[in-house]
Amino acid sequence: MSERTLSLLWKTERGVVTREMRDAGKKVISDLQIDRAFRTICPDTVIREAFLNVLLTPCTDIDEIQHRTAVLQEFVRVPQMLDKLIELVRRVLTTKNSWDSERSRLYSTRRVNPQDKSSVLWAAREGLILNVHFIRSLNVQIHSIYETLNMFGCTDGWLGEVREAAYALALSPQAAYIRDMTEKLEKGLANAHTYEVEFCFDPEMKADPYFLRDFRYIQTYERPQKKQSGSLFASLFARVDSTRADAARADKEKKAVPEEKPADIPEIPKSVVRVEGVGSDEAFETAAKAVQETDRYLTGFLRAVIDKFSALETELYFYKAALQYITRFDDRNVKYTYPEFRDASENLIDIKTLSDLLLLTESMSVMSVVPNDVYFRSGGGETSGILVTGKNNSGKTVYLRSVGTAVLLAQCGLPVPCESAVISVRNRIFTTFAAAEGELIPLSSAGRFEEEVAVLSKIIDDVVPSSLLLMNETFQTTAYDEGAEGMYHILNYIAAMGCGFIFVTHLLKLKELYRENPSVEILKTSDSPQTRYKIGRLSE
Amino acid sequence: MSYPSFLWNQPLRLCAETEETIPENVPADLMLTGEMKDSTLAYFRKPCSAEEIPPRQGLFRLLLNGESFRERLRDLAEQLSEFHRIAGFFDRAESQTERIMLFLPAIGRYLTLAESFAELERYEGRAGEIGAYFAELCARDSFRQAAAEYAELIRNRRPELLYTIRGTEVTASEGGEMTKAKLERYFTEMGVPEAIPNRKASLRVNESTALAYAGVYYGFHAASERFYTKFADTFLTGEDDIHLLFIYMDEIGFLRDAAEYFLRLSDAGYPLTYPAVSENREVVLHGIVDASLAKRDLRGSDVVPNDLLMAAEAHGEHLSFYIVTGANGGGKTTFLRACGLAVLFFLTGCPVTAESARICTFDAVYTHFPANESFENSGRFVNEANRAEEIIGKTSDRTFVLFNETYSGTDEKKSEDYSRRLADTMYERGAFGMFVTHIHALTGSRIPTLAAVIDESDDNRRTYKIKRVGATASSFAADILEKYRLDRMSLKRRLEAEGERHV
Repeated sequence: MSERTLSLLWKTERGVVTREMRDAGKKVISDLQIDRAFRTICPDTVIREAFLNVLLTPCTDIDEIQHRTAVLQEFVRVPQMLDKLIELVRRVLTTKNSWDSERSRLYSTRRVNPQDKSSVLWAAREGLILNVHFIRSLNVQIHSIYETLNMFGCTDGWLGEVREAAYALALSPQAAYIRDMTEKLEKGLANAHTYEVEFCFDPEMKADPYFLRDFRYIQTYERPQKKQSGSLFASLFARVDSTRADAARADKEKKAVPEEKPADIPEIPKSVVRVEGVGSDEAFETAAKAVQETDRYLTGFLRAVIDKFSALETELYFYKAALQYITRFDDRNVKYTYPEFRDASENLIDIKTLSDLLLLTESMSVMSVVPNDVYFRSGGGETSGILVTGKNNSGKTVYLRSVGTAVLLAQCGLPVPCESAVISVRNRIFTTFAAAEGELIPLSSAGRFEEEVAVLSKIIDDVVPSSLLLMNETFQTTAYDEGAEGMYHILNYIAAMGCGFIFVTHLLKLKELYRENPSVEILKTSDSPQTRYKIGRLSE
Repeated sequence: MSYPSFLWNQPLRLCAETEETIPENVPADLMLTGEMKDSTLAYFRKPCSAEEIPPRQGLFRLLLNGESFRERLRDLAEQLSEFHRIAGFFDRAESQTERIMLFLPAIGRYLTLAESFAELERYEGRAGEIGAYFAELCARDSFRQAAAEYAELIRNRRPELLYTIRGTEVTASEGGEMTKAKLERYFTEMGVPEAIPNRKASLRVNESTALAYAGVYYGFHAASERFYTKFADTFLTGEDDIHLLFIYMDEIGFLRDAAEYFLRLSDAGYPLTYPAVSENREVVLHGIVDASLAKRDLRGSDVVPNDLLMAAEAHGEHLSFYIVTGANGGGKTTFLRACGLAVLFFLTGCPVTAESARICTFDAVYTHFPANESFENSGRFVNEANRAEEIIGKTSDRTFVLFNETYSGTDEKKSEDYSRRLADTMYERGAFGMFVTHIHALTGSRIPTLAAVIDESDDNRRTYKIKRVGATASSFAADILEKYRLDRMSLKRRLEAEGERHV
């Protein structure tokens, strides 16, 4: 059984997502307008938010990406399995909510006099019976999860691990033991008359907390059901309440055992001694402590099982949104592919006929969306970055956005709307889209430039090798030549850090500065109406 | 034979009676308070004999020279603490059944502890002697029999007990596989080890449970009873009573705490040396520095060392008692403290912060430093005088006394009279010690004088060197006043500036 937390998104325990990381991720999603695209793709807010939440921290582990892709492909293969799993996991969470609610009712309504040990025992039994009831409910739900995954043949990968976990918790011999234990507790503890309490007695005359090993109870007949209130608690104890007086009287009169000796009482073993000097209070208290300790263990088990599966809900929502994303492509006959990944050190982006997601989503016809190729690769005389120039509204920003969206979604395990894609995993993705169309910020030029500088400065502080920077018309809020000079040095720094960049710009001086520098490729949008929105090399 | 002591040349069982002959104010005056635990400082008030000092120095050498002996003492301290706890349960047993049952773990701890002490045999000096004693103890027939029978008992012991509670009737029987342990195993196998709750603490059971256990496992209990009957006298009475080991807790506590203090000094660059025990009445210190300066984060290399020659008879002179005077802020009190700490550390068998030293033993050390406490019914001078008189009454040629600006809280004439009487009394009795004073009239007499040296060619810079001098005339207080603009010219300029301000 894998030791890792049950997850369909992460190989290992996800680290703490700081507020800073979260804000940076949100900015990238917003700049690339992925949130806008998914408002159309995935109308359900809850599901969409769960999806975008995952995008805040894209995977940087190729193995992890491939696992996610495998899970997604399973859901593509059998979409009904995803819906069924969502339903079953929701039931687990509903069980948790019901359990919390019933426990609150139980603890808030009962009155226990700590000096009256028999009532302490009684209260302990109530608590345990309630908890084992929910353990048994949960067992059924986990069983269903197993059956679903088994039925659809999910034996490998992360879905296979979920299946294994469900089996262990619902069907294994160990689970059967707990099931039998909880069944007996739920059925008979309320009418128990004899308790077997175990403990370890160490050489220093200290005892571990008592634990309820077994008990014997009065078999009762089924009484006619009274009108039940809505709560499970009330229905559960309706029968119990009616026998409480009987049990209390039996205890008091020391006639706790039935007159006929049931067949299941074992032979009295050897070395049995009467424990002298134990009054009724101490006896009740011992039994109560044993019941409480058993309750502690079984409550821990219940909580652990719920926790194991509860995280799956939002993760399944991610796949639900991803499935809708793929369905959108299928519906619109958009060609898409799952990228091939390379190590981050290669600093490679090689995508053929990449289309922009937002345009694919919002355009009346996908045929109107002009795809483009993207290529750069660092080292060996090849490029580490791209400058994109051209007239306004010629597709530069769309090009930039399509690359960023493709890389981000690919690193979350999703396919990309293109013919082929080979991508290096990026450790970080940064965007500066402050000058994007429709995002005018009402600040003076001087203030805005300083704001840009501040943002870029923060990025430069955080940038690490194999990062990807996507900058849209940065430093155009100052004198062009000065802006160009400033960006030239920054871009060289970025390149020297082993990062890739795509910079959409009108700073034409950069073209001159980089003309003789092969490390940066200069692309230009087409001026011809026939090839509008096509991006090509400057010389073409 | 009896358990030997780490610290004293007498059996451990007699060590609890060792008397504190050095007053409580001495470690405080020498600024040791807060550097070590109070229980450790108590040992600095019990001076060793000349024969006891070298073995203690040997222990400190072991402690300061490497991790190994420190780790071993730490282990012994932990085992002793645990043994003390278990033995306490045994001592408080309320019935014979409890005594029998608790005798077993108490002896078990004791046997392990004895073997651990025996491992000290490989060390030299007192540690080795203690190790050898315990090695011999562990080799005795009674010990080996006890160890073998204990091991057998423990091996056959079953801890599980099962209560069957029917109403108010409770019966006990043998437990089998524990359900709790099974559940824990199953939780782990099912992939939810986090379901296992935190362990609750074990609790002492009452006598009825103990009796029940004894009844269920009557064979084990009978064997325990035989064990108790056979070995109780061996281990609970006489010179090898196991309770005597408790005294080691204090002794080891002192050694470890003091060693930590000296390790800190060593790390801060302070020299450490183990003074030779002199058969002559003398205190000879070379390169002595004040250990209390480490409190001010001063490194040893930044502290100016000094020398001291104190002797009942040296070069035809009587040099046991000195007047110390000189420039304010020149290091007199620091020097006083350095010498006082040297003697105190030496008498406790500890190293001394000097390059080398040779010291004789003293019966007591006294200090008279300016008191900070308020005086309820008398003024400062009266209080001072009373304290000084008390010390004077106890001094002899086997005491070491330090007076720091005693009798300064009165007029000059009275101060001179009292101070002269003090100095003469100390000198005539042959007491060892020093008297820091600003009464320059005392200098240049039969009583030798030390002074804090200043460099007059360098604006009266304090050198912090203390040298033997003849008569002295000034304390050079004026440059100190100038530094803080409280000198005459500075006060005049202040008045002028103040006048201009008001104009």
